[in-house]
Amino acid sequence: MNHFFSQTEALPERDSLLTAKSYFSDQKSSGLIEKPIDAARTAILVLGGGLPCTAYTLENGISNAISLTEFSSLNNGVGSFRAIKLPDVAGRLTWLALESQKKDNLSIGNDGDWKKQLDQWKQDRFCGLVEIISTTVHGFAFFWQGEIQKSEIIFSTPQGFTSESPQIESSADSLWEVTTYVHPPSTQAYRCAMLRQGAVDWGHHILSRYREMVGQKLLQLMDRELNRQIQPWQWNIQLEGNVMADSHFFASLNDATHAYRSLFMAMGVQMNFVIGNMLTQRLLNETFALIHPDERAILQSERLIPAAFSE
Amino acid sequence: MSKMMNSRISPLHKLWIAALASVILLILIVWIYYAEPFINTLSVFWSSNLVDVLIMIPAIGAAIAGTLVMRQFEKSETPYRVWQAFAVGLWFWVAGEISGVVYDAIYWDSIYPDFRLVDIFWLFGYFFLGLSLYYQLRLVYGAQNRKGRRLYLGLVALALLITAGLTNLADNAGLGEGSAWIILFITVLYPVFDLTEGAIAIWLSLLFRRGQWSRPWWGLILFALADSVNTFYWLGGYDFISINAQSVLDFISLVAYPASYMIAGLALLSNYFILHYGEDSGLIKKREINQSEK
Repeated sequence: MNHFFSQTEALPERDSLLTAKSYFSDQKSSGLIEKPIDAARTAILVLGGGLPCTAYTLENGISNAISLTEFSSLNNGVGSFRAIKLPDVAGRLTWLALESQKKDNLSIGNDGDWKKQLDQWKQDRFCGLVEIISTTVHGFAFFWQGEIQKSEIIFSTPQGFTSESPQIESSADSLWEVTTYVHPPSTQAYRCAMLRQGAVDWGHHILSRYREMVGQKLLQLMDRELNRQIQPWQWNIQLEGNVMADSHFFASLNDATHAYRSLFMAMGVQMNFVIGNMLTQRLLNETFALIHPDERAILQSERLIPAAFSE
Repeated sequence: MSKMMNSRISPLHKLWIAALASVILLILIVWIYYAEPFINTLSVFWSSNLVDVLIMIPAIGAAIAGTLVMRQFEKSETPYRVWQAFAVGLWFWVAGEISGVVYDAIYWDSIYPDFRLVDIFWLFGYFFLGLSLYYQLRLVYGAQNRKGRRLYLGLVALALLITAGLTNLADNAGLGEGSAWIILFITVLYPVFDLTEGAIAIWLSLLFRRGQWSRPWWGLILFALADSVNTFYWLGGYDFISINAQSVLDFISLVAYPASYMIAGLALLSNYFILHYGEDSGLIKKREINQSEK
């Protein structure tokens, strides 16, 4: 049984799990491998940027983390497995879903109901992951303070992956099974999502304020310089205007912290050069105070704080 | 980029050439002032005003560079107003420099009128440069933050009050005898504006520290320094210091005045190159993300 993204075509069958893993490693791409254990259980391995991230067993919709060794050993006696390549956003949201607990199940039959539900989440300032399944669509969307995060939405459709939310009426089926998740705060996937949320939001405030102070041209100069510095690291992070778009699947909190620290340091160096260290410090402090307390807390816990990014 | 390809001289080299030319011009000004080499070859008017004419070169250069910087921004962008006011202020000062020489020519053999067109140019120059400082401060403290605006308005009010007080003191001391109070007020307004704008420029420079963006303000600081010597002289300070100290102050004033235009001009030119050519200007340090940042 295909649990995730059944619309997505599996990679050509490979002789062994090892060759499948090698494929992801060579391509440095994200993906997942599903292996049926028995009629009720499936083992799932999530790969981020070509590296095995975490493995789980999935039974009646409940996931349990297992070691990578255990996942490999479960191969015995099992004939087939399904390996699919995923965009980084799909990979990291699948990881988050597997590390979370299901909370509510809803059935949505039309766009009107979906809009009402979105309004309700907005009113509740809902924070969390939402999974949407229909016969033609399987997707995830991450909500923060009641708003869908544009960089945290992915749908698998027969036409491929899309970050646009499909219309219910326009799809062949007319019922969406919607599941919301709660996230234990200590899990790596949730901490990574929160850290990403915090870094992206802080980055946006920094870039906006910097543009206000020095204008569009110097902002673009900083964007270009940062994008150039990111390139050798192959992080799927892009700066454009005052937006820091992070589509990378960091398989560990350490890797994500390293990337964000490097980016904020590079921003600090650029800003020090133009507006000097004192104003840079001031700008970083001001913008840090603007972000949500939860975002601030996770950034602080990883020592991603204003004082660290100005000389 | 293509524009730069067409030119054999990189922006960085152009900046070095401009800096070298400034140093040569400064040496020339000092030499002409002290050696008076053209006293026998030029007319008395021209040999007396040659230094003032030479000072127009960095003044015009700074105003052009300011205009170039201003044109790098869209009108909707907040820094546009800062550099527009700065450039307009510098152009008024250029007009002040030119009209000063013109007045010298017209009134060479007669008495200057009390209030001259040159005063209008200088005061408008101060007004726009002050406006530029205000916009920059407002930008630093945030448009929504009223603290910056209150501080600026407070400083302007303080400057006017101090000027009025000093005018009365000067009037009682017999300075500017025969002039109307308002003329004396305007005369006193210059050093007060100098000190106020110099103080704000120092404040901004402290805020920006070594930041590239603050360097044009360094010109205003030097300008205030040069003018403070003149103010000291006007207030009769020279009566209390030795001849040697007077010579030192004269030299400081002579060098600091053209240097203020040069510093502002070079800083503006550097900012223009960075804005126009970006990383191709050669003025931006490159760095790489390395493992040690982990």
